[in-house]
Amino acid sequence: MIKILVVEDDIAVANLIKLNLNTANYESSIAFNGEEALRVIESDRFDLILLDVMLPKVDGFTLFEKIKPLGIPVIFLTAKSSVADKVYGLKAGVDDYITKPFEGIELLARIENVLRHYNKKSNIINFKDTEVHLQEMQVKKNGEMIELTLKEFELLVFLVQNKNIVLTREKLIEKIWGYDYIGETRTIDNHIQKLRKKLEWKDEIKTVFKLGYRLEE
Amino acid sequence: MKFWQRIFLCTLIIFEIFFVPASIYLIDSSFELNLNMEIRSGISEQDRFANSLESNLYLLKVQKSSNPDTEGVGKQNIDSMISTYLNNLGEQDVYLDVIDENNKVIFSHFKNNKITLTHREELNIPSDKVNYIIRDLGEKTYLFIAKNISLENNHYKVSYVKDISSVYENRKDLLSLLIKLNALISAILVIVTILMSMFIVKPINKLIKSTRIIASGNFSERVKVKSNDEIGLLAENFNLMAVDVEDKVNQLKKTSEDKQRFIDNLVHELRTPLTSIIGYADYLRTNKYDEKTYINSLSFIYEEGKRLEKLTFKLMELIVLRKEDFELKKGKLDELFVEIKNSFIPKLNIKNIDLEISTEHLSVLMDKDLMKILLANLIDNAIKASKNNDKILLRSYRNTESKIILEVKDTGIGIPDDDITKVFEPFFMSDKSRSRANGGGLGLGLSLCKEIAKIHDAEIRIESKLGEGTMIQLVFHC
Repeated sequence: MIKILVVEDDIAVANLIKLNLNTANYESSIAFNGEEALRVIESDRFDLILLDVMLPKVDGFTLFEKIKPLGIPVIFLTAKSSVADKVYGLKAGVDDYITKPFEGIELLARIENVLRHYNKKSNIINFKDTEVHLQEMQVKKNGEMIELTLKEFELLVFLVQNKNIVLTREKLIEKIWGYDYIGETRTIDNHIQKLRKKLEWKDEIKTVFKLGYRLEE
Repeated sequence: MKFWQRIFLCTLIIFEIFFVPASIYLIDSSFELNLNMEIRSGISEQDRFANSLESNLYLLKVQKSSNPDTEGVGKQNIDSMISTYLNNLGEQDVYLDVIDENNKVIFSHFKNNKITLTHREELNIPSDKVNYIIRDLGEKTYLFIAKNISLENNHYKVSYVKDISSVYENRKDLLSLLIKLNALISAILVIVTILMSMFIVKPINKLIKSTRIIASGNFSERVKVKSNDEIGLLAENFNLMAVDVEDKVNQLKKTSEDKQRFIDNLVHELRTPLTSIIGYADYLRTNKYDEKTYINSLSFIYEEGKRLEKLTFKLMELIVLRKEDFELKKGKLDELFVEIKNSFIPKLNIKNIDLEISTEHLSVLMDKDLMKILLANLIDNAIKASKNNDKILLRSYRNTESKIILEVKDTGIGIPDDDITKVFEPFFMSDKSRSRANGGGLGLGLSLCKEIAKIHDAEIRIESKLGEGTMIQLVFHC
């Protein structure tokens, strides 16, 4: 199981991150300040670190410089949206950056991205009897190839990556069709219908009243 | 127009106005003088001729009288005498001409010199007078002088003509010399004014250079012109202005930086609770959750919402404090202390802290509500810093300078030296994570206190030692 360290001084935020990580089946621990984080990193092995920039005692940048030699992927969490800070962080070799306030899905997506980059995450996602090959862009159900359009494939990937989480229609539009998509949300409903039909996922893809859809295991 | 050009033009104009007319006047005067001299000398010359003609006649008469054969001196004799005499008289540039009453030319030099005249106004001589006229003939200018002489009742008109072109040429030469001289002097003037204005303008150019640097935003630049003249004075004043501007700019910069920091901090303080509220709400609406997660999440949402509310109120207070004029009234500190203590009893009891009041009967000008906010913040901080069963001392007294002091002293954890200058900055928290855990401090309390102290014309002093406690004093200046 992938282990993630959350370094965040705000208990509420730390707890929230932990909740989100748990739903995505990550193991996580929390450090409330830089010193504590250093201690935990020395004694335990982590696959990824979520690091708040504004920390008491040892700030995020300083901490990052110290743990850099370990080669653990690091994503910065910060309330500072200043470009200078981001540039500093990315130049220093931070893998990604998330600005508060952030949404759980965004956080998970970025974590997955970074992990895949480090080959810690397989390129094949399994869901029940279905295999989704991200690299080859293929979907197999019981070993049989399923033909999907590009949009259908992207939608499927997003669903299996965020299983058990409700994906709102706005979120789906934003993610699959892009911010500037001007169209009706019915397009999504149509694509969902097609997925349900092609994969025989009538029950798996649940419609959540007024919100969107959820892929249930 | 450049400065040297202006100086040059002014000098040139002044020079031309005075030098040229003066020179022309001098040339003209000298010309006049020369001409008059020529005329006078011509007249006396002529006179000499006339006289010599008369004396020749006399000689002729004597000759004739010694020779009795001849019968008197006739006009013919006289005519030939004149002709002979004048023929022998060869003077350069001087021509003579004698005409008798009947306009018969007795003698003339003119014919040989190709001078032909149509009008001879000078010949209309009233009786004994001498008449003269100046005439241009061809390239040359001549002075004509005519005089009547009477020899043995024969009237003759003797004309004396002299070439006076040289006088005119002289004037012409002088005038052309003046033009050349003028051009030369103008040229010299250009060089001299350029050099001179360079000398004058040098400090000005230096001034310009410095002012340009300052104008481009480098306000720490100073003009380095040291002299006792007007330019030195200007430079000095300019430097004074630059100092003033620099001060103002720095002040503005500091204010703007303070504001920016305030906003940055505010954004951070707003974003953190918002992250939690939005995050938990989003989590609850999109995930399956158990009872414990549900309650926990809602608690966080509630607490963070409360925190935002508190922040809003504190901000409002801070904004109001900065804006409004408060009316200060005399109030008794001991009464205020008792009121404050009563309101803090529940909080004090939680940690079993003893708030000890020691006060003299002192009154100060104050806004009671504001003073309560100030005291409440100080005591709240003291409680947070204190351990269970500690003691907090609240007292008022006159110090050695007989100023009224209000003091809150605790024996709590104290403030690190590095942080002590920053505690009055908005949103500063010596230990953020602890003060959060300790009842949700915002880091605005002491900023508020500082504003309130300002309204009361009081000064806040802080002394603290890590691990030993903190003492905050409010020193009233009135």
